[in-house]
Amino acid sequence: MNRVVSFFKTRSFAVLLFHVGVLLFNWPLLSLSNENGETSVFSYLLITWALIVVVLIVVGQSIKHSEETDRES
Amino acid sequence: MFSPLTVLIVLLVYFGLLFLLAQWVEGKSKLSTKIAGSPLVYGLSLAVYATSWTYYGSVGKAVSSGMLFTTVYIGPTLIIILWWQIMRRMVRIKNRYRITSIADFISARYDRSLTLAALAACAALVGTTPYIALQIKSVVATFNVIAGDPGPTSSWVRDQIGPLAVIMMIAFTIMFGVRKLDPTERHQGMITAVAVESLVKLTAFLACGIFVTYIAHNGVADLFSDTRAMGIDLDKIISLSGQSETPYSTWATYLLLSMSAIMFLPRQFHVAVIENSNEKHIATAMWLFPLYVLLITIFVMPIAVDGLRIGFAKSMADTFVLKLPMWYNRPWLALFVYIGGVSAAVSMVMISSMTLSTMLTNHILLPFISAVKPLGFLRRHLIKLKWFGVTLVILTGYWFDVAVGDSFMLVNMGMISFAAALQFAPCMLGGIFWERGNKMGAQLALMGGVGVWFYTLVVPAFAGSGWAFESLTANGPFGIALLKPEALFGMATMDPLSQSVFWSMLINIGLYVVGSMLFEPKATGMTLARDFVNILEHSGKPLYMSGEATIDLTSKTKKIVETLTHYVDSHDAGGMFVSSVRRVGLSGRRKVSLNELAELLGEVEKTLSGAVGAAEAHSAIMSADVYTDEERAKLSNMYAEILADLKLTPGELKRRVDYYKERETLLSRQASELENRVKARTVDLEAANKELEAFSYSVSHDLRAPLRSIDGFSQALVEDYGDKLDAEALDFLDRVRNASQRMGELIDDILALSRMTRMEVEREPIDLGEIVLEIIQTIREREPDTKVEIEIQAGLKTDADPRLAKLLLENLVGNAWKFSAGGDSPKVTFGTEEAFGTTWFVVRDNGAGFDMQYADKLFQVFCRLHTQDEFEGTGIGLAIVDRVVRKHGGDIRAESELGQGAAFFFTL
Repeated sequence: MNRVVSFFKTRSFAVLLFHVGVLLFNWPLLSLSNENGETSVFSYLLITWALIVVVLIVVGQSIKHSEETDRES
Repeated sequence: MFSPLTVLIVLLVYFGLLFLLAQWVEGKSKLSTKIAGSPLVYGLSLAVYATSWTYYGSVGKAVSSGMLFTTVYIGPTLIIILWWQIMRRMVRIKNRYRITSIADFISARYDRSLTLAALAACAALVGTTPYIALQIKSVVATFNVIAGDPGPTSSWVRDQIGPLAVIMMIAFTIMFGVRKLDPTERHQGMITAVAVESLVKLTAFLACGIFVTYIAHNGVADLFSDTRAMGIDLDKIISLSGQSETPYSTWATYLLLSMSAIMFLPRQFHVAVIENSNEKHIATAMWLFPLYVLLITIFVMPIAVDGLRIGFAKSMADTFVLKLPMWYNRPWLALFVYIGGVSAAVSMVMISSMTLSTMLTNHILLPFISAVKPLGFLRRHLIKLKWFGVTLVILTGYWFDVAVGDSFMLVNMGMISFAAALQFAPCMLGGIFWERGNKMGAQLALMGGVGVWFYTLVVPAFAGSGWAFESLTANGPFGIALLKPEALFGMATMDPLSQSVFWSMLINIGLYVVGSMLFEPKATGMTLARDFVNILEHSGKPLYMSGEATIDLTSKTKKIVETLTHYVDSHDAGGMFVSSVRRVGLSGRRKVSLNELAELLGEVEKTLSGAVGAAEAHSAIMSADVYTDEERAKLSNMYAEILADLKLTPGELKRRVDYYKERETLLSRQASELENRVKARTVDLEAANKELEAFSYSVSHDLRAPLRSIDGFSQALVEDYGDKLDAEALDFLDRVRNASQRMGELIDDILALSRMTRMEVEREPIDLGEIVLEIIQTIREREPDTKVEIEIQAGLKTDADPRLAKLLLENLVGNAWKFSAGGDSPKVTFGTEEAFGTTWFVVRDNGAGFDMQYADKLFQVFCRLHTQDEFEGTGIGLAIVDRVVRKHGGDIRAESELGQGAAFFFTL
């Protein structure tokens, strides 16, 4: 558990996730879904976005958990 | 649908409730403090980001530009990933430097530059005020949609809704946020109200979306297929670019702008940094805010698609979210959506005008007032200046709305405002991550960036609205096409917004880096830069305040004592060390903090300098090698922190320390000079006193011989020649004899006083009662005819000099006898009495007594309260008594009433 927590709260993970996010929401990855037409861009954006929010919930909780552990110790 | 008056009343009730909530929170009850301090409130308050421009405008943007609107929310979601690294730094810096706004932050980082603060405040004002106009516009426009059924009596409300909304906004902002001066610039009541408004607008938008998608239709798929069935090409709507071609550069530009907007728009900086009460709340906001914006975005496209399906005009897409519930005949849902929209607008206006008013007051008005002396009195009216600021900002926004109407500029103001906030990004991010970034770089960057922003975005917006710069925008200045604002240096491949962001950032970042590299910062600027960049390195509590006692004193003791033994013997060295430990209050401690160790060494150095001089002592302690390398590094950090906290340059600190050292030296020199002078004077006085005593003794002594001759020969004259003298001559001779005898008594008393003064007190246990008894016996032998009743308390023992005690009692008892002897049933008592919290020896008689108003003269030499005819005496007896008592360190006082006797209280 502690290993997971310390992984998600690191600066390196945040920087990695930020860059992955920037990649996912920019050319050229974005053009793939756009070229598929129809509503795929709608689904792609919302699903990717929701996934990032889920990861952020884990990150936020990890930081909170580690801060509380630090305070207790 | 609703009468304007009904809508107005509903709004008033809604904001009245919010005001009560804010009041309750400000009341600081246990529950309200818990709620206001909750991370959820912090996270929700960040949603002030979703203004009416996004609340209504997202649907409009979806219709015109497809999914481009999502970038306004995806950008913040991406940058918030890094908030634990970025926002935590800003919050810590805010706490340490008591930052009040984004302009204050920039100024604080770059050597407290007033120019930068004013520049940033101006940029914020110019960039935000038209945005406020947009909010007022949305409130008024949507009011006209929801209150579309004006009755004859309520039409006034509809006509005047603009001014009414402005008055309400000014009143709410002042009541919520600027009612009183708060040095921390935190407004928990207002922020809780904003959090509730955020919840209301999210719920209202979701309610509309759920209704359209799941009640009016059977889900998104059903809605989309219905729309396709109407012959509408959904692919053109739901695409990245929408129906107009939106290149990826626009998409990326929007992402970049919204990333910076969530942090650097003045209102966002205010709620995220200034209003943060606990940095841990950032961790919650990191998921809560992205979740919020995701939820508020989900139904934008379904609402837009349904509006188009129904056949609403594309130009009215901004009001689809309000019109759809009305079209489906759901008036209460429409009213709820309207309240959500007003919440979005009002919360933005409140926070923006409040933070802008702070910037306007602190960085523009106050410096101006300081510069113009006659306006100095205004400084005492800071709160009123803030009210004036709020009113000015909102009124300017309203004026802008009325003046420009539906112009090109207002429609584009959202992104123009975002682009203005982006100009703060290099200074802000450089300020917290790049130590080298300095004031000159920041000034050049901000001026260059804001200049390019104004030229490439505001000038074309003016031209587009048809007010000015039309020819400049179309042809470039002086017809130079290369300088056309919308295609600067021929950059025509990008859309105007993207090229503006590109050029302004290039100039901004370029000038920041080049300016910072070329110009050397001042020492104060360097210290601030170091502190800003390294704010996460150390804990919130400064090192020198840290009380962690982790250093083992025993190991240090050995080294310190060893060093001292180079100068003094080991016994003295131990003594020096122990006394130093005692003086710094560390007796009995085994572990000490670094701060305490440093204090102890300072004290040891002082003690040693008493023996070997300050310079040698300092060098000895420095070479003692007491600190480990780690402790030395910590100590060095400690001094750096103190220096940063003192806000002084090292040079200034050195000057001040030198000044205080010099002052201390001067003072101690003066003190020792004074001490020497006092000593010299004391010696002089003692010598003079001795001379005087010797003089008075010898004079008194020598006077006795001629007196004896005068008395003796007068007596011989009477005895040998008495028969030859007549009666008058004999009377004269008698008078000569009396006078000489009296003078003899006087001299005797003076000699007694003089002798007594020179006597040293030699205390031993004595019984005062016995002494009094002896004295009484002597008096009775001398005056056998006088009958005085004597009463002496038993066991009056004390420690005193027996000779002086006898002298004292001879005088007191003698006086009591003398003054009472002439009365009826005279009585003298000697005993102890409790008075004034102590035990006194008391000689009491029932004789003539004296008037208490002369009591202060009683113990003066030669001072008598009775004439010689009434009672004999020299006026020296009580002076002797007083001196005996004082020589013993005791106290004496007298109580009496004329004719009622007297009492003398004394302690020894």
